[in-house]
Amino acid sequence: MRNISYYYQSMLFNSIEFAFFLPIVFLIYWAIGYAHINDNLKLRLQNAFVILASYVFYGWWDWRFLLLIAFTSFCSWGSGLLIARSSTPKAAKAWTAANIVHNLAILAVFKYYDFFVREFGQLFGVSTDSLLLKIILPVGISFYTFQALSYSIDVYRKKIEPTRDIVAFFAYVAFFPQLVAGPIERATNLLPQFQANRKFNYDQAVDGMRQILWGLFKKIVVADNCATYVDQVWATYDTQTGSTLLLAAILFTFQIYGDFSGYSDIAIGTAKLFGIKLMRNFNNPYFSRDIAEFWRKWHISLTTWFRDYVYIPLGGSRVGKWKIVRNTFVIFLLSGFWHGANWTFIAWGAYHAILFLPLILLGMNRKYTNQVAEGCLLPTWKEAVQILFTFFLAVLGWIIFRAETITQAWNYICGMMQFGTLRACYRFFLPNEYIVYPTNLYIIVMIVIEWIQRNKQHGLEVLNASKYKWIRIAFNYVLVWMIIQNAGTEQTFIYFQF
Amino acid sequence: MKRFAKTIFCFFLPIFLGVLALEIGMRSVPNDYTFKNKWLTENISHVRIWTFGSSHGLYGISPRYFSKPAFNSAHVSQPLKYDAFIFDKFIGGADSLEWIVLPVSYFTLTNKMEDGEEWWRIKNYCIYYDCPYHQWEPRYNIEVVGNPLSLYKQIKRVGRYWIKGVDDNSCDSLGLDLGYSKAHRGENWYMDGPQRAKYHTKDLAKSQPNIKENIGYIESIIKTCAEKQVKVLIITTPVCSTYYDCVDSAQYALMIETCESFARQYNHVQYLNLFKDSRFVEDDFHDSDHLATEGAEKLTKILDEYILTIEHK
Repeated sequence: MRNISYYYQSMLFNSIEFAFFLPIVFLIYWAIGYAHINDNLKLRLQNAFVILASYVFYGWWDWRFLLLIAFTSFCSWGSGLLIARSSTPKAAKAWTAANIVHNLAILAVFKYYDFFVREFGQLFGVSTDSLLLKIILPVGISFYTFQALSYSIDVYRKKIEPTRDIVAFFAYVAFFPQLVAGPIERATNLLPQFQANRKFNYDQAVDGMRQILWGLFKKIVVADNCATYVDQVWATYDTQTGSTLLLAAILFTFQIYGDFSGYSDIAIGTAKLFGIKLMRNFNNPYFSRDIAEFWRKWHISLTTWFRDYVYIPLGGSRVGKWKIVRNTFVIFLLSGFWHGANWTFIAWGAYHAILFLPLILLGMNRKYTNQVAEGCLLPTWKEAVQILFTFFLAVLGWIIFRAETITQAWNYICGMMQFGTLRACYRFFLPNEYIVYPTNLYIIVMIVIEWIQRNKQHGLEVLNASKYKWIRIAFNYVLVWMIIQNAGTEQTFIYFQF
Repeated sequence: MKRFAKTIFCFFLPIFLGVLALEIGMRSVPNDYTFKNKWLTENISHVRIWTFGSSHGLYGISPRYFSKPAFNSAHVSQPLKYDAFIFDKFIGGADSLEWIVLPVSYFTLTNKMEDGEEWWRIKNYCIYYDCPYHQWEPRYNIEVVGNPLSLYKQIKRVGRYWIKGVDDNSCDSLGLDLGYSKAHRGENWYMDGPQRAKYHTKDLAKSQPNIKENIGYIESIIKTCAEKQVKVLIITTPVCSTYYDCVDSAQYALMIETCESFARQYNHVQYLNLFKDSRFVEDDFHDSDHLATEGAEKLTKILDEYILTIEHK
């Protein structure tokens, strides 16, 4: 993985800074919302305040890159108007293309330029040091760029009317809960919410708080504890036994899930406090019965983005077999490459494309669209085996994703292929496994809660507020206890670097 | 909104009060930092040999074996930045000071606490030494959140102090940490050398800003010492062969070259490299790169003899 220490300076959701920032922003935002002024002015003031708060949030990391967000926002907003005003479809297409090219060019310069130059140099054996830009990757650039892109494409496709309201548009791009690590919102969902008056909703806000709590649990308690073990093993993977490597691979699988889905839960929960509903980003992906179901449930906002803006325009699955193969590889490779300029991400994308391809070619990619074990307490034996097998495939994929080079990933996997590797499976459940415990316990708590709540939007969603009220409150306090207990080693979010 | 405010208030009030009580409790437990800060405030004027450094100095230098009054103000993972901070804070009152001993280990020049896993130790300087760096950053100024100990252990620590009177200071009266002895070393203590050396090895190209900054701290200490007519002894503490066999030659050379160049450049600076010194045997170590209390005695006597030799030249 990339050295992410630089991102420690960001205002992380699990930081004390954010614990002060959020209530202040919340109070001012709703103070404006309840002010005795006309609705239109109230809306504009609230949106302007969202921009200010979001820029402070982002600028906490590095204020210089605020210009980049503002520039991206302005260009996308302007392109929307130009597309709508175009007298011919050709002109509209040209403006859309211009906006896409300009956004991707920014992304390419910041994220991929050095990678390509270095690879080019290695390929031809020339020194490229002087050509490298060595610039910092702006936090969340891939997220907000894709969000800005979706707007102009949707305007071009006439799915959304272009907005003249620049304040609402800037708030849409910069809305701080999802600015740096998603969910990658669509203008069709989010922009109208910034154009309508928002009323404080008690149930929504309380649900948001519960979702934040659950997200913090997944991030601080599960992911950060896994990270401690995973980082230690990866740092010395060449000296570790097979079972330790497998154990670390399994823990990384939970780490990345806890980290990213935890972030998404906090983002969605935070947005709810402001009366904004963001799209769901994870739907219990590790309960998937095949890899196609996994991809419908993992990082939903990105996969649907690629589906809607790349896969379907390429013909999707309604084309000949070779084109299906091509399209599948294109979106998976792009999805991998989106994560960063490294061959490991591309290999990770290719690995999933290979797993996905048989399903789509055999027309089995939508076999499991319902929730697993619907209406039952436990899965059937068949479902359990399918879930475990899909999970194992995901674990292998995450090794490639976590490695710094393809060689490292290969060596890691080879290191796992030892006699006794499967000992990891029972070591995971040992109470005296000195490093894994109590992380394994936390993971089990997360799995059990998410399994019970698998039909709901998040782990702590409550449909009947009066049912088991005191048990729920007690459980929430247990979660808070665990969060504070583990909050000492604040870690950045893995997806910040993307 | 009022209902929401009431719900949030009722839910968070017990948490807030609990955390506040724990914060006050944690701060009340004496630790190495409170002890050393207090000791230096009260006694710095009598100190003639003052030693610094990270755990290598903390566990490796026992001031009682110097023939002059000495004090060890090292802390675990203490980088040069905080060596320099403590030095600057107390040097004004160090009227009798003759020598400072500044350990520079294999990782010292590339180390920056803010960037590494040990960032949480910074709060100890902010809270207990009144260090002005990071004074507006909550995570460096609140014990409960800046502490890697679990909540349960923090409560246990406070309880242990208030009920049994057991504090958290593991140092002797002159600053040597007594936690590392031969008897307490782990089962594979000798074999952790490669892992520890690898952990301490950094990409030198990427570490250039840290190296530059750390050299600046050494230089600043040396210059202040020159003004105060205090001699500087830079040392590299001994490690086991399992460790030194696995170090990166470029990073090792950088350490040697930097320290030697200071010794060449300034008359009042000496450099003593004991990294691979054969006088230190297995029995002297707690693990592959830390001396045990027994080894600390040997090292301090060597340093004392060296200082006396220099003085008598």
